[in-house]
Amino acid sequence: MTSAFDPANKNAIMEQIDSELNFLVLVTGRLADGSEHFAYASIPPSRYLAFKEAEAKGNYDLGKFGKILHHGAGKEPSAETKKEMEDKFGVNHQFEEELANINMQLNNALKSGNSGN
Amino acid sequence: MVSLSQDNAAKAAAQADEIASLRFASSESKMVGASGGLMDKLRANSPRVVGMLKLPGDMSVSIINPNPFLICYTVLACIARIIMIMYGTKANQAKVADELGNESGAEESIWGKITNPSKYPVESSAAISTVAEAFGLAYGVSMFMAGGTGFTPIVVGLIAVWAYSHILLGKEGKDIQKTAEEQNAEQQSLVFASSQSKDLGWWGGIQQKMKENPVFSSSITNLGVSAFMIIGGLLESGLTAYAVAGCLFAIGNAVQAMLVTKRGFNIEGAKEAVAENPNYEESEKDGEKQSGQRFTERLASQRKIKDSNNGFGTLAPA
Repeated sequence: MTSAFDPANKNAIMEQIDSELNFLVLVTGRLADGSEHFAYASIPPSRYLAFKEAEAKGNYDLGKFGKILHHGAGKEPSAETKKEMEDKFGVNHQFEEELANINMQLNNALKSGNSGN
Repeated sequence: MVSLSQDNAAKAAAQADEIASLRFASSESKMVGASGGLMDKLRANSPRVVGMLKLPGDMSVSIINPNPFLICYTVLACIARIIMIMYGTKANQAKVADELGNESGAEESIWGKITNPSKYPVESSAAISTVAEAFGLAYGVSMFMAGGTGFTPIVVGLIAVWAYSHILLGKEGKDIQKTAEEQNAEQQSLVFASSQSKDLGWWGGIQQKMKENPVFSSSITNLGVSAFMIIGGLLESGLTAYAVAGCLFAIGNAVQAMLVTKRGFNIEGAKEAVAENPNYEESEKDGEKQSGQRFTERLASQRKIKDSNNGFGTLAPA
């Protein structure tokens, strides 16, 4: 009988998660020729950490970690491009900020609740 | 031959956007959301998910303390959640839009929204939740008057009443912009024909969103209320279930903050989606797509009737 911790099962579970959920990222930086470039990519959870490690090291191929949805020259996408990505792929350009705000609100409420008791 | 090469050029241009490799020398990245089958389903059914997450918490309130005020709260809150569960989906939005066809007219009044849950699930649910929270507030006041508790339940109740009423009465971004344009008549030292401004920075972006999205601001506020449930459940012996319900409440409020908007699931949003995007039905999935397609097909056939009858109704152009 195989257990949930069996590597074969773990891989199957990760594949299932990857097929149902991907992280959308906006990457901004410089290409090898020094030009500024941006790209939207969809990265599966199983490859997200590897992507962040490669990004920290630099000189990496974004296509190896996920699907490139849209890219273009420039420091960041134009307002029209942002709107198009929001409509087409459900991108939320304030996703991290909203998560941080939710986290802050919960922390504040938990702290004030604890101090009141 | 000319048309074939033009077609190939168009396809090549479209495919240019799809590349398998892009090498960055250095970069920064930020997460801008999530995608995939699970996220698509969550987005299309987020009010329903929120209703399901909050329902256990609402039911637990009067089970733990069968006070008449709390029983009234539970009954009304459960009705509100059931409305979200039944009607809070994109499929329902497309279905209602399909049934109404090309009916045009002004946006419903507040009372009209409350009494039409299938057309306005988020608003209708928020209205009933407001009344439910008023009973919760009444419980807090009764306990305070009896000397059984301090101000906390009253403050929490007031916050919750405000939060849900704000969902019903607050205006979303589109409405705010229209009002500003109508009222912009005074001479200033620097006059813009039209403009849009956004606060800068991390906190500025959040403040902008709080102004433009009442569901977001109310859900963030209710997160604080959820935290009190969690703390109360953890501190009181025998109330672990209450703490668990508080956790589900918090998750529900977080999902609501991130994914739910009024126009995303009401009839006005459905009409705008079709008017602005002729391919609206293609953005829906599975059964939802079929419902949207019927709506646009009906619009297309009624446009033909308009053309032939010269003056039938007023329809948005394709």
